[in-house]
Amino acid sequence: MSRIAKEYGDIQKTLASNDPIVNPYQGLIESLNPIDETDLSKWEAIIIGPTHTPYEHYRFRILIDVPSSYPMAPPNIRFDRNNILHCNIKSPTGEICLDILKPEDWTPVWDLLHCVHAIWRLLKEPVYDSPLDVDMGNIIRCGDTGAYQGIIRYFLAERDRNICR
Amino acid sequence: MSTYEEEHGIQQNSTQEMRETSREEQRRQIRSQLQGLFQGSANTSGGGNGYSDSTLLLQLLSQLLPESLQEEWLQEMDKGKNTGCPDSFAASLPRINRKKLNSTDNCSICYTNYLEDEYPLVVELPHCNHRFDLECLSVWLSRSTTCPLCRDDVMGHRIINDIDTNEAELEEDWGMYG
Repeated sequence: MSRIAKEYGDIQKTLASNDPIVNPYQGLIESLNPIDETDLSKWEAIIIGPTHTPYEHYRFRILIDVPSSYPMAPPNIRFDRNNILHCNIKSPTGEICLDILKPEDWTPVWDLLHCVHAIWRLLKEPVYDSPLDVDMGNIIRCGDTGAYQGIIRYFLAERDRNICR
Repeated sequence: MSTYEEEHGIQQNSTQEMRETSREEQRRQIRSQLQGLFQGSANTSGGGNGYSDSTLLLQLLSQLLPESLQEEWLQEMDKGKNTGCPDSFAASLPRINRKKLNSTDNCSICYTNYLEDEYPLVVELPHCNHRFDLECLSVWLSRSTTCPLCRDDVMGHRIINDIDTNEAELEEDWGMYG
């Protein structure tokens, strides 16, 4: 059985559990499944915005491409387009700047749950010194946390207003 | 120089010939451009437009190489950036006896229990002592030189060992000719 098929079984078991020891992702990762059950190369995840951040009470969809060389090469992960604002995410494409997802920093012992969890943590703790969204990076580097969070809140409110229309 | 077709006595059809001649024409053009460039640079040696000349030269040179070859070379260069260990390295690692494996031990690369296999081939890395399936680890070490679990540079310890043995050999030689 291939590694990704094994992971699929483990992920289902983990996320279905209510035991916090088995499922430490409760309240963090809502779901992680292949988009089409017959194709384990394309996955999607829904993560829940961390508390005490502007992302709180919002949900975010993450798209995952698993290359044929996985787990020797990292999965390719991005957010939905124009779905989130964050200094390490290029909003128009959803591209994420996260070290563990780069080929030179990746190791095959990590799995999809680790990656999605790392992205959830990135929402909680933005990395100011390697911004992919330069404007957002500049605001936060000036120390204007209020403005940074305000822009994100405004963006997300607009996002959901547009979806509801 | 004779072409492949000539050497093997293969008849070229007319379209191929057409292509050959147009390619020949293209080559001639590039050759004359190159010639002009060299003469030009010789005349204006030490001139201010050295930079633009060299980019033009590179462009011309890249035209001389078929595209498929260019791509291949670029890929080769990328491979060179993150080379792994030599193939023999993974095979030279100490194997772990089946009796020393616990029923719960998994390979962290393929997530498979070692004992699911009747004859598991498990190896241990030097220094950090992390264990993996030989098959999984050798694929990883063909692209990297670090332990998947702790990022320990597996080749680092290897080099120290090599130096030690070399020195021992040197001393032996000194003894012989002493």
